[in-house]
Amino acid sequence: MILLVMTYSNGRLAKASYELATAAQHLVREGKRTALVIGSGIDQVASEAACIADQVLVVDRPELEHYDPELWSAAVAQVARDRNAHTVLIPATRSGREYSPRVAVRLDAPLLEDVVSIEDKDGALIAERYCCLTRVSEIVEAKSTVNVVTVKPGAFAAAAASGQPCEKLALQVELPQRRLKVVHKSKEATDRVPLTEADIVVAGGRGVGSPQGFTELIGNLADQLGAAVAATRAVVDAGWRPYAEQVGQTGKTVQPKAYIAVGISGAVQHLSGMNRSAVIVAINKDPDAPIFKVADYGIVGDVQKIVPALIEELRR
Amino acid sequence: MLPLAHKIAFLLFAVITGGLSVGGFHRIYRQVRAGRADVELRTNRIASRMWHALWATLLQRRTFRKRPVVSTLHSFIFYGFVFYILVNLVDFVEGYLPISIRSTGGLGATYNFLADIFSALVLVGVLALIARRFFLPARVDFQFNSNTLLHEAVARGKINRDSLIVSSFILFHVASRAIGSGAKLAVEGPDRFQPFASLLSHLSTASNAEAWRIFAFWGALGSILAFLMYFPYSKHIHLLMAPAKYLFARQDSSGVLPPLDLNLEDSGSGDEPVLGSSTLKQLAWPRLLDAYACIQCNRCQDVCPAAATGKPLSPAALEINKRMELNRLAAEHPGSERDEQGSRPLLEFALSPQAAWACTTCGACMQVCPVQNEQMLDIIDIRRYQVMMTGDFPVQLQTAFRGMERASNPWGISHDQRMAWAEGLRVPTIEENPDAELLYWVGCAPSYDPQSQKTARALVQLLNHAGVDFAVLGKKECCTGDSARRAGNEYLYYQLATENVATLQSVQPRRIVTTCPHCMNAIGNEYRQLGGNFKVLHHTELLASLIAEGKLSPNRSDQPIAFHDPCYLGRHNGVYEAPRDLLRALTDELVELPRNREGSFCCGAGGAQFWKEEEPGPEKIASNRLDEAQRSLGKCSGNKTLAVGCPFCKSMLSSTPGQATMDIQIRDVAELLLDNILPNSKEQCAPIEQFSGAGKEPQG
Amino acid sequence: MRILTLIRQVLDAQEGVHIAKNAVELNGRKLVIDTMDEYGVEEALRLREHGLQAEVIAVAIGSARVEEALRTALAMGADRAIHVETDVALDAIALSSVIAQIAQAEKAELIFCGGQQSDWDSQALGAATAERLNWPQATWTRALELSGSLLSGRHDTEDGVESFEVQLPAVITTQQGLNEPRYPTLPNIMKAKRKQIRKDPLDAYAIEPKLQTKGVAFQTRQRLRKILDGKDAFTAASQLVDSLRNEARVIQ
Repeated sequence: MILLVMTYSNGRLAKASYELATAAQHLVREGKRTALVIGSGIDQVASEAACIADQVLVVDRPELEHYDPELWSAAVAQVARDRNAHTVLIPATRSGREYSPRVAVRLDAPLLEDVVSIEDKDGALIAERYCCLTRVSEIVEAKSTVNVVTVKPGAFAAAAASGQPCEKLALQVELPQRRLKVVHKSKEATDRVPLTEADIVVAGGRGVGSPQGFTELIGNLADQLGAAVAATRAVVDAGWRPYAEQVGQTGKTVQPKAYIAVGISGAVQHLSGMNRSAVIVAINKDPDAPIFKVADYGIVGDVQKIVPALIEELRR
Repeated sequence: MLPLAHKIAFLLFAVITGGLSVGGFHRIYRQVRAGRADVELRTNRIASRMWHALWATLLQRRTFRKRPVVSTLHSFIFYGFVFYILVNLVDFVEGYLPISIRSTGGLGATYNFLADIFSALVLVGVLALIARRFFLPARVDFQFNSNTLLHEAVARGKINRDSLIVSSFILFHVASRAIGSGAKLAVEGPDRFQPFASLLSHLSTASNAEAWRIFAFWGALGSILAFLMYFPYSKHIHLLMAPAKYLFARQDSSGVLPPLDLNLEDSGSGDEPVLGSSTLKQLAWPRLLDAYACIQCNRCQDVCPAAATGKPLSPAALEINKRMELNRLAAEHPGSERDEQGSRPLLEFALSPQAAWACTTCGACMQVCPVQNEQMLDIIDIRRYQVMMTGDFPVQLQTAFRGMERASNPWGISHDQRMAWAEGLRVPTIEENPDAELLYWVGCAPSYDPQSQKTARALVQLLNHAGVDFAVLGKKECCTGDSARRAGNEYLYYQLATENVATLQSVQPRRIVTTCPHCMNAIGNEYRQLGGNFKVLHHTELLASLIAEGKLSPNRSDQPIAFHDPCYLGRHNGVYEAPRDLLRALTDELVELPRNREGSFCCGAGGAQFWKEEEPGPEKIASNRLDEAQRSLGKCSGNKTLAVGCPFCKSMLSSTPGQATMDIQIRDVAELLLDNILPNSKEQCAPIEQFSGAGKEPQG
Repeated sequence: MRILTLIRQVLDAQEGVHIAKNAVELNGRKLVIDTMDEYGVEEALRLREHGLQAEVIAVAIGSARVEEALRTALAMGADRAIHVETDVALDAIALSSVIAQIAQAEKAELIFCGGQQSDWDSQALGAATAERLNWPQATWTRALELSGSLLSGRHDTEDGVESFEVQLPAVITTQQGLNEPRYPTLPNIMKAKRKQIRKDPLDAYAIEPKLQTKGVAFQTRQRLRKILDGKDAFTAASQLVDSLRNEARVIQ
């Protein structure tokens, strides 16, 4: 059977779980698409999962109220073993990538990590994944009886929920003691995502014009995108933004999915801190600004007009 | 002639004071000797050194570099004292033998006249300088920034106390002698060759003249003997130490740092060599001599770009603190010159770590110092120790070090991209043109920094236009290591430099031209220490000569241009006129900035500052310079340009926060020349695929 | 106490990537110790400098060149190193078996591993090793302290930062910001030349790699340079958002 480990938050299935279902569709090998939901008080999630799988297994225990890599891996491995799963799919979220190796070791299985495509071929499982800071793609192959796969969020489209929910089955598992004690959970001081982890970064340079401009343009654009805010050295030197936001040679190095450079000329010191971003967007009034040579997308124009237009467009 | 009793008493007095003074002088000698041996030659060609030291002293050349009025007043005192050597000798002889120099013969008259005039001048000089130090507004020259580390002795007012003692001594010494001369004339009658003494002769009468003369003898000569004991504790000893500094001066320019034996042979003896300096004793002995030669005039502080913008660095405080510490060690631990008893790390009393890391190695302090001190080299020594021995240095420099180690450039950009700047232009590599007449050493900044790439592109277009046969090293070129060396990382510099020397020796270029003064300095001057002797030109020199030869013919405009002298081109290497010749061919209105040539004000990038955040202070060094340019060019009309000759100057001046609002363009001389000669070359931007190395396939 | 710090040697992050014989070309390229692993070495050294009696052992599995990376760790201050020399490229799950065997043989109590290295983009080594040893793990650690046998610290999770406590033995994976790796001083670089690097052949360890790499290709990501004229701000904005949403797929 193909085990799809669900991930959820605030009582709703995450998009990544739907993507797992699509990934499973690419597999030719026999087996029921079985969703696994682990947690505490997760009945609603299980019901949602029932719309994207052939069956749902539920492990609902109070000890599982908060995530822990050892508890999760123990549960998944047990279920996979007891129920003879030959393929275990886990979303490659931060947590997923953290407990899936433990599952693989427990099952004595190979781990195909953070894959963007998957297929069966002659009894082997073949997947494509990125390496070398996403500059290179490699094909990996595993031929074991059991394989553990983590699936890159966003690599597959979300499966459509079927109108006919399947059966749900409650399971018992043996759980180890929780050894990593969480003493305190905190969200970051800023409401925004931390700079080094953000998927999207909106960065401003001197072209933004003023500290107020920064708040209005950069801040609002970042909020609209759920992004982190960054700044160039010139801006930090001028006292508009704190050093913690500085990106570049003498600041932070970041690698987000999208880096939106507003009013930044593209001095080499700044570029060396962000040029590994997957997509670079540049907005600047100078068509000769070096930033345009390393941008995927850009607009040459007045930052004061373009950024509000973008915010407006994103609101729609 | 003195009465016998006085003769005997004075001789006894001389013996006693002389004996008591010897200890003090010998102590200084021992302290200076306790410094490390110097790697550089200090006592070779001794006759030539003595000759130069003599003339440097007598002509007071270095003193007159700044503060002309004060220097003139000082020269009264100086020349007065030089003549007073003779005067004191003669006075002594007149005291013991029945001789009296009268103004009857030409020789006697000349002697008396000079003695008289110099006495007056010395008194005027000292009084004027006291006024300046204690009463006039200019006394702020002697203050330090509030964040500068000062030795406890300084805080206790030692400097002013010393000044008062010294001034009092000089006044007393000269005044007593003058009174004595006056008394002599009270008996002999007024002498038109001695106007000052004649004036003073009214103070005494023929009857008490003898008493005054005896008083004058003891007063003048006795005070010298008494002062001898105080001498070693006073800055007045500069009258011996300054000539000593001239005598033992470094032979290399300020752009060449002293070599360092890295002890790379793994001796395994467990005896760790000390690289750089962390205490006084670990400084080379000439730099301990510095501490005693320093006259606490603060001229170096005046010209230091860090001090001028409110950073904690003061080269003057550095030397003064060293001296105070040497005196403290002598007082508290007498006889312990050779060991480290009681010694504190330099970073605790001489200058703070922030100060040490604020230095831009511009060399202005050494250029302006009247006694030829080597303040900047102390800072380099301290940096060497911090980087190579303790690993305790500003963290941002690590990124630059790693870049140089791994990618052969401080930005850390892939070495594959070294030739990307040349895309679309005809730039032969040394493989394609092995017998090129000229090798163009591009440098890291023009290779990788988009703004400086324009300079490189402009130069090669001009070279092609002028038909110059040249080649570049292409990917064989690695960072010269200048930044590493200035930051104190001599090991990294050594690794980079030996590789470059080997490359260049295999290529054997006839001439090298470079667009970066730091590269020019490293290759042309410093690589000699590693066996590489290369002739290097700066691109402004080359372009100026091409214009003179008629191979490039610009048209003059009337747009105002000012030239900012880069420290590494100008002060460290003496190239001032070539860029100006070039600019005069471009414009009728070449504007001089107030601080120009050897007085130029640093842009703030040197000393590895470019790779880190500037140390905190109320003003940025580059802003200070740019404001000066704005003031000079602001009065002009037309397109205003501040011309530069160094990629770092260009970057620093272009990226100061105020620059965007000014209407001054910052451009390299080569760019200006290109615009003038080939206005239609689409030079604005080249299609440079610099960063698509993230995914870009190589050719083939 | 013994601390293992795992070292991977990777292409310098700024180097362009080349491909030859269906694998990433390493010959003639500049290889360096991965920064993530430097954080691990540095943290081990810091714990020791704060009073912990510990021996810091750098461990690496790879080709002969990997020795340079181990020397860097030794130059920073690690006491000795173990180099399992092999040219076979192993996946994280297989490698974790080797590491676990070494850890057991050395009776280590703490293992530092990079959160993710810049060559294989894998985050699995630390977790897999922890499972083999039946140890707990804390990943993406940004602050750490050791008091007796209790590790406490902060680490990044899915939705924020957690303060945690865990008993030794444990595996800690690192991330940017945990510390600033020290710059090796020249005397330490010289000393490192004399420190021991024990060489083990791969067959000394029983492993069974189950994952093969079949080939690599450039994930061609040349910059697109689709630059729009922004005279009409709204049209340009709308076009841009559309591209980002549907073409680049970086925003919802």
